[in-house]
Amino acid sequence: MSFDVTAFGLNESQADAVQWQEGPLLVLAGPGSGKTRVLTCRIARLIAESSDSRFRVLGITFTNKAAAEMRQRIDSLLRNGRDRVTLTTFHSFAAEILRQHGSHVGLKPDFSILSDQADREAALADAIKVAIPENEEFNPKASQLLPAITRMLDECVPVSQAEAAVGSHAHAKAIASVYAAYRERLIASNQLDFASLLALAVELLEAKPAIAKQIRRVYTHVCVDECQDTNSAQFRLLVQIVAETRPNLFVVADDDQLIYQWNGASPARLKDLRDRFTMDVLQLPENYRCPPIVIQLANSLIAHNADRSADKKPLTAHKTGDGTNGLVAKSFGDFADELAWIAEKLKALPAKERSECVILARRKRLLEEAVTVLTGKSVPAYIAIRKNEFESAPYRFMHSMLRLANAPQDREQLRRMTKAFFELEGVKIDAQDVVPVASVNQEGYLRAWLELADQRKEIDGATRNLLAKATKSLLDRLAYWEFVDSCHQWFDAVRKQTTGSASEKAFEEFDDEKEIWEALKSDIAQHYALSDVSLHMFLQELDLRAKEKPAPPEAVRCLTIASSKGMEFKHVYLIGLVEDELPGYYARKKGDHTDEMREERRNCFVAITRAEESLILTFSARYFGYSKEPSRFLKEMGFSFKKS
Amino acid sequence: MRLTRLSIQNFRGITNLTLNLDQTTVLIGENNTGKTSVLEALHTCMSRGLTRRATPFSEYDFHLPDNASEPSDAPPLVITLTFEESAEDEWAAEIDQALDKAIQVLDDNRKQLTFRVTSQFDAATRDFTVEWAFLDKAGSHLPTARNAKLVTDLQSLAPVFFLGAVRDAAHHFHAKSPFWSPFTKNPQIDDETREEIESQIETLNQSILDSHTPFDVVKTGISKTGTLLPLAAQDLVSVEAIPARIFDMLAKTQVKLACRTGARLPITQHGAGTQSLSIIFLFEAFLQSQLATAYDKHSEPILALEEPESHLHPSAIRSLWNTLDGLAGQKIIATHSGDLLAAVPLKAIRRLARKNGQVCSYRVKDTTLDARALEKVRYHIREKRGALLFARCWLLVEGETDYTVLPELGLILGHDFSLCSVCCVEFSQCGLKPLIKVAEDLGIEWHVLADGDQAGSTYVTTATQFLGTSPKAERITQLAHRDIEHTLWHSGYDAVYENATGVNQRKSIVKSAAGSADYPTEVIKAAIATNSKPHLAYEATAAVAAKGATGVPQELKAVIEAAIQLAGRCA
Repeated sequence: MSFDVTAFGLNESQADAVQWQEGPLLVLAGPGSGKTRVLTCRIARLIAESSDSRFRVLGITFTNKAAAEMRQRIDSLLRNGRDRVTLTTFHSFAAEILRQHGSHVGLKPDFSILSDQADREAALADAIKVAIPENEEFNPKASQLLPAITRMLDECVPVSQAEAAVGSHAHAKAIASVYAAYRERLIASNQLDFASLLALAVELLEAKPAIAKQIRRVYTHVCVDECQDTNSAQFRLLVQIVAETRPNLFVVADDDQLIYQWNGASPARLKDLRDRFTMDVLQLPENYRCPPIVIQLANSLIAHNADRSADKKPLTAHKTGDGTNGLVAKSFGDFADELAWIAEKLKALPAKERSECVILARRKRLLEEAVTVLTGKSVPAYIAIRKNEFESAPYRFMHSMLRLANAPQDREQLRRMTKAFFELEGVKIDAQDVVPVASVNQEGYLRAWLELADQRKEIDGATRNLLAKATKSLLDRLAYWEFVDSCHQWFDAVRKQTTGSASEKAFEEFDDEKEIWEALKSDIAQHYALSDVSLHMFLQELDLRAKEKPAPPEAVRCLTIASSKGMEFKHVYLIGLVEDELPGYYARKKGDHTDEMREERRNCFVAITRAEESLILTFSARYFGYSKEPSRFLKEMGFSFKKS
Repeated sequence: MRLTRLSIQNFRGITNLTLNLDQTTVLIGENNTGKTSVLEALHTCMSRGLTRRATPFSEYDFHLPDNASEPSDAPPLVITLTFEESAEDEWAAEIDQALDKAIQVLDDNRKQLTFRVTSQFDAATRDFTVEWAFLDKAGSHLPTARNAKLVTDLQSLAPVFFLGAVRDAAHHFHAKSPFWSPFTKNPQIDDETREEIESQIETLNQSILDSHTPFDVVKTGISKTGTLLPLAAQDLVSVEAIPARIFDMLAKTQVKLACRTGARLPITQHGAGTQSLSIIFLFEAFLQSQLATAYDKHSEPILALEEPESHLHPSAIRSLWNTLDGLAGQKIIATHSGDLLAAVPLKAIRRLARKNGQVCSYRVKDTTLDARALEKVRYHIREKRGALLFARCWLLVEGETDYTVLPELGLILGHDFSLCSVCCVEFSQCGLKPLIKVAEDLGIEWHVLADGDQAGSTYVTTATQFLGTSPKAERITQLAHRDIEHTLWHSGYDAVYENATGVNQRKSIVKSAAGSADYPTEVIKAAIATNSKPHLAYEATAAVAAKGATGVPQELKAVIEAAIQLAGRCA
């Protein structure tokens, strides 16, 4: 079957990229250059033109959300062969590798994922106990050591080199042994955190080249989106899964949009990639998103970065329509005035248009302030807070039940479940009482808990009914979808009863989280057929996804620049354009010609290029009582200041 | 893709059996040792119905330990198939791509795929359920491999074909048969030619019907249907002497074989042997020309073939092996034919037998015999038409006389060696050690009867190494006298030898006086010189038979009874 690329209105460079056949290609795609369309068209073309082949195309994106979006687009482009496209993130792909081949490193496929900071600290505390004898002078807290351990995992430091990696610390040896013990503890309990997920997958592929070879045989074409932001572990994983010479590796990146240095991304990595595979380079400088004036600012600004790819073409503006009102820059006396002015502007907008506005800042602190002010002026605003666990009692209850069905001896989940049950039902069944029953009857905690609950006279009919179903569908048959349905029916029943009572509080976040639950479920369903997903795989996939709530309609979104990656908005308000905010304090301390300062500049570049229609730049003389100078980036963008 | 291992738990009479499989594997064993069960278990697991909800197994496929047990109480039926590369990168990239999610990489870089089918009674739904899973190297279910397409892909990349013992041409040369139908589908005739042929047929049909008129009445009669049901208004009833459409005609084609007289008979009219054989060849033709389109171009078939020898003359059977061996793909063949076994490599044989009531599989291990010993044993098996592989116990004897006399003495004692599954095996030719090793590997019991001379003592020493925990008397007998002739002589059958000695032979050989120590040896030697050994053996057994059971020398009776008792162990 042929695939007509002319049907998609691609420009010349886009079409060249889509038509790219064999060998490595780096597509330097500026903001708003239609890179997602290029990626999806190319993947669809590869599949459509090889309908009697079985090879698969692997597409790695930066977020689950981006993967889901690309999947939808590809599904609309392809009639057959969708199952030959795997769209995933580095973490999900690493999890997939470990589920399938983890037995080589002692993992079972039903490992669980520690997404909660507290759970990781608890595991690390165990490791510290094992690795450092009591009464030792050096007795670090888990919370102190966790960042160092995480960094080592991010760098895929092998246990044998851990001590050297710690560096000139007085207790390097002890930290290295904690590192080893933590890794052992994770494997022994069949648990992984995000960092070890990648590290173990990389180590496995490096130690067992035959597995990497199998992956390369299956995924003959690999496409990576936002490649500039890969960290060391992700990059090493990528190197393992593509051929050594002339791989069919299609990388979309923009060195000007690298803003994840804090997460281990590095400008050197893209260069390394180009050299390693002698990649051809194709540039997509055409911008279809921003008003021409914004493009002009962006080009002026980024030209100040000295370490850009050689011959990087400046962006060219292709947005049609008038661009006259596209830009506003305004200064204020105090941050409060800045926000008050923005609030008024937003308030003047029709409610529907507010959801197309974004307030961007480098730091969350400014955004929190913005939300307060906006809410005070009755402009609904929303700030995304990363959430790894459900917070409402009903979902905490259901989630911990599911986890207990999967790992019957997990005390932490037992504790969470009994707590949530108390909040919902008002009946206290102590985790301490469940454990001995379970051990006498040689059964899992959930079964023991259900038996104890059954003896409690005060539990009413609807709840009894649910508990009976938990035994029948969840424990006896692992028919967890049935159980999930029963849970939701029970939640509704409990909610009706508790209206007006003290337990009503248990349902505070429920509606939001129900939405999250449904969104996560349908996201997982896009990836796998739900009927094919076993309980532990479902739990793993759930753990791999953040549980933050979707933005409410008609709310103005407040985002850090880092989390606005890949998005676009009609109206962009970039606030706090002052020294110590953008650029941040740390970068300014470091100095002008440093990686840190360049990263700040790229942040500014990313921020302004989110704008589709208008860009509003604001800055004040004072923030939180401290006076601040206007950001150097204003000047670099081409603004000049009259002395007042 | 080679199926290297098949494990079966709680399927019919089998409680726990693991079979390692080669490119060609031949299953032998008494009736009810599970040969057919093995083939059917494999076939069922790889059948298209597996991915549906209902279990493809029947109630009686579940293992019922006793008459009182119910299928619903039966332990889960578990069948595990392991496919492995024989060398790194053996599987085509397309196979790796299709089955990737289920594939494991072994420590030596070969790839492996393990597929498990489990069926059991589900008390909650009151029904039998079937579940399948792919396993990782450590035996855990692979959550990455839950897509049913993996099963159908596996089934088309390694399709299992089952040809049961009863091969009926009417069934296999039918339009719906898997081997025959592909040949009759997708006519390779261009439209123009087809239309022309079809119009010729129509003319032909018309001329047949014009000259053969009785159908007219039928047409008028049947057309009344149209008055009751809404059917076509015109040309309601037509009669076709020959199918009018090419596709219909192809579906009804039949194969004829000319018999000796030259008369061409439909294959279904030939004898059972001819039908049976022609189906094997139909299968071969199917593999050669239709498999790739009917399944996948990377398909490697697995043939489960039951009793290929059925209804065939022994000499036809002997040449059958080459045909079977030449079939593409992997073969698992169950047979009862010694004639076939005579041609089968020893290492391809799996002997199924019960041990402590459980079906076990035995094979000659790779390391058991060196090339020379292997060749000798093979020669022996070939010469005896494979018979010894069907026995439960080998009575290992030194020479021709023992080989002839002992079964006869058994009969006199009321024990038929063949019924008791004891087989006399002469070991002088290929050596005692290789035969005991082969017997041990194959789970065949053995008892050595050694002569009373120096060589006999050496044999006893050899056999003693293999005693394991068995008491010596159970497995080894050394005659008190020099050999079986002397034993008979001293048991009161001296007259047999005296009478069989010719005058000239006596004169030249017998030097000692009657009653002296060397006298019996010399007379026996002279008797042998006069007659052949077999003839003497016949004379001796006749003399024993005349006396009846009490006439059997005590020492030989003990040997026979030991062997029979050993054979009884594996019942």
